[in-house]
Amino acid sequence: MAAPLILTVPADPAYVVVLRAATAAVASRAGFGLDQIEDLRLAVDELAALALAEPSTADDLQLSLDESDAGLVLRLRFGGSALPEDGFGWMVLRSLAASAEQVAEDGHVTVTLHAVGQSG
Amino acid sequence: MSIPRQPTPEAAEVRERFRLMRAAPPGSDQRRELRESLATQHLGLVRAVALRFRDRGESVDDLVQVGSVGLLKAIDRFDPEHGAAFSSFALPTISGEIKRHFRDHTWAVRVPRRLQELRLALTSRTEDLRQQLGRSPTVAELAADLSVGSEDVLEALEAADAYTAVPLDAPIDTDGATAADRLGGLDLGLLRVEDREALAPVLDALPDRERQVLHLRFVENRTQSEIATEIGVSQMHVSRILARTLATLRQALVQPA
Repeated sequence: MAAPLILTVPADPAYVVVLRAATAAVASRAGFGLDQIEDLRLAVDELAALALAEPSTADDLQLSLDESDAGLVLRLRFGGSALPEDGFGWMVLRSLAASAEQVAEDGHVTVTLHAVGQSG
Repeated sequence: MSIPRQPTPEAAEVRERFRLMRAAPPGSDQRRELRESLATQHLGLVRAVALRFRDRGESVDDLVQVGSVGLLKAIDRFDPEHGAAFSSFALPTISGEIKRHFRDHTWAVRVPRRLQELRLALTSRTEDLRQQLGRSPTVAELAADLSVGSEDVLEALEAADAYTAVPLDAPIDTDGATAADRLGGLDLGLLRVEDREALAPVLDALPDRERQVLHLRFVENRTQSEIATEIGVSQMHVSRILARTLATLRQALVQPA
């Protein structure tokens, strides 16, 4: 598969629309149905809101989108500490994507969402 | 001097069913069944009103759905012992509900007419294609069907977000809905989340429809298309309800009341 698309935007709510549009475009390329594209757009909204709510998010938000045979891997890296996995926001992410994981180190968090396209 | 009019047999029958409904105990099956039968019978009224607004950029189906809320309010408020026929009583309530929908849902930013129209076409073709394909159509399939480029479809999806400008502090309308009317099984307590207590009052204050959509998506894990079919609106409408509701909840978590 081609190299992942990587996009860096300022940690500002005004740029969430850019992340959302890029995600929709890549998911559309990957042949996702409208349902799944809309779910992913909601997930990006939710994830960006969680990232921007981090008090230490002075750094940029970095989004990477990777098409794979199994679907789409979306990663968002931002400054801050691990997100509460028992919170409402995390529950929303888990429901909208096939899976959600996070790794926190050196004052940065990377959240990884897997989304699976439809078969047939 | 007005000439007393002889009520039509149909009007008399409707009036009688209103009497029965009001006499039935609140929350009883009988009351619910009568309410539903009155609603079904007068759906044509809602459709007629919705058609009057068809050129304003919303699909007629979605407007019928909005107008039905007005119909139910009218059914709950109509007093059969007072003179007017139910239909003339209900009309202003139904059109009021639709007008309010337009007042609350306006394009937040200027969106070119071309995109507004494409969004509307997209809404209806998505439903048709979904039925043909038995799954949610892809952007490429929609683009081919509408004879536009994939970028246009993506652009219209983004533009749809500009069409959700319900002010977050808008008063939430709870009149006409009693506890008995609440849709069953919407136990958002099933969401085993830490901030459930902070969310509870906000969830309670959500309109029934939005709580239902939230429940179907996040508790029952249904797809947007399935939810659209179940509650009788377009999938794009479901998507908008979800986006708006999640934004409301986020707002509430950040700034506890």
